[in-house]
Amino acid sequence: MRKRFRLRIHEALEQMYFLGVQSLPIVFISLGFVGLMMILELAFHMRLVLKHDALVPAFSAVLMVRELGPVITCLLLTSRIGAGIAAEIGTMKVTEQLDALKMLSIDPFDYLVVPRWVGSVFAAISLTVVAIAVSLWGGALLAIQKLGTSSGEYFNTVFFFVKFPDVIRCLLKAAVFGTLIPFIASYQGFRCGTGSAAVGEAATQAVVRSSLAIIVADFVLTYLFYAI
Amino acid sequence: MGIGVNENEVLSAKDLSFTFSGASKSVIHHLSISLNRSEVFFLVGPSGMGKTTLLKVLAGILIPQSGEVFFQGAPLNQLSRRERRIVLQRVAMTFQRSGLFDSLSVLENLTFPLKELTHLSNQQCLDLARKALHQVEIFESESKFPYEISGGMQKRLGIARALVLQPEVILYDDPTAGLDPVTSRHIIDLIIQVQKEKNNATLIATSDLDLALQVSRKTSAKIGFLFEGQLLQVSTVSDLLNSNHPVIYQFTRGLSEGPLSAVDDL
Repeated sequence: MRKRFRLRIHEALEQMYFLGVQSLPIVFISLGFVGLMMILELAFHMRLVLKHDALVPAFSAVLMVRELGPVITCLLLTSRIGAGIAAEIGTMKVTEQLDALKMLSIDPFDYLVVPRWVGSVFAAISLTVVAIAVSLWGGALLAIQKLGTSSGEYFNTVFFFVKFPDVIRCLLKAAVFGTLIPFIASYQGFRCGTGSAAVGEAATQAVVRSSLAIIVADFVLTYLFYAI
Repeated sequence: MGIGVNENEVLSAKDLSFTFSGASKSVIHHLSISLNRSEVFFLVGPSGMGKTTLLKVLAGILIPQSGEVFFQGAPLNQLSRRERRIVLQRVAMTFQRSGLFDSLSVLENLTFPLKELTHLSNQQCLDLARKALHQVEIFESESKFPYEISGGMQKRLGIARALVLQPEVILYDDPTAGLDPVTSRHIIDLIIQVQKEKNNATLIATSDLDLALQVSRKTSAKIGFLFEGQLLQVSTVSDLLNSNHPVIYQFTRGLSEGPLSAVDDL
């Protein structure tokens, strides 16, 4: 039993590296540009409606922490790992590797899903933190260049509007989304039919359903956190 | 091989029925079977008649809807998870589609079950794995991955993985499927060699009657003919070849006309 536990930890660490660390570049680049885009868009609309853009950093940061940070990060994570998990488990089913695990009295759920779940939650939370940091820094650079805001002004406004509970809720959202991805993708893999077409279909469905689940879960969580 | 309980019986099943979820027809239908120590038994029959499913039920991979599988008289379904795990270590199976873990190297495919199911040290696991690779003569490929070796070598690796836990029963699912005649012959020789060295109870499911004939001549094996989830006949090779049952008659003679042409795959 002791050996078995150690092996699962090793698997979980592998998944953390694969799902988290290897997803860094795509999250870094994507959320950096999202941060820049938000500053431009919010500045345009605020000047149009409010005739000034002093609150652009605050609105941008609040939107990023409450919604876009965890949602976009986890949608990117879904496209990167959801299909991979479903295809990997689906292929293992088609090639009787799942049967081989069962023959060895190893529960495929314990062996395949749990480490991916641990890795995915770790990846979702840590990548969301990185994503928000990157987008805020990107936004700060653009705000300083284009809006004439000083860095002190920018971060003071951000920290005034973004409260600690927002950050906790943001991380909770990331954890929930990080849970949905491997469970939905694994489910698609386990119920995969026979043949390569079935594996492809499982991978596609994993991405579609995980993405949909993230968007619905985001609405539910936002409603629970802020509307009740 | 026969139906019933005796002291030599190592693996048996009584009144087994198995239906895949969503299917209307059962794949295994009230089937009873028993395998004695050191016995070689062939399970032959047309494709899609439940051979693979029966092997997976006997190996504890699939749970039957009714009936019971017994290992040395102990009913698997009534054992605790831990007891079941210990018992099933003594039953090994090779798979039609290899079932090899493609994310693990050839050597790791053998050390993995040892590390999972035993308390041996890493070095002991490596030693046992290398010994099994030597036995099946693929030791030079230990660092390769399963997809980097030939189909014949994959079959050998599957056999090595089955052997590494020193099981009392080995279930082979279509061991020569997709292999050329020469490689098939090598695999057959390996199965015979393993059976003679280890004295395991051996159950081989195949649609290849030639394979069954070749092995049974060397090991005095018995043959069971599986059709629509039931054993139509359990006998010696010569009795099977002389059978007048229309399905067996058509199958053993490879005739295109007969009851088998109208049978749908399960």
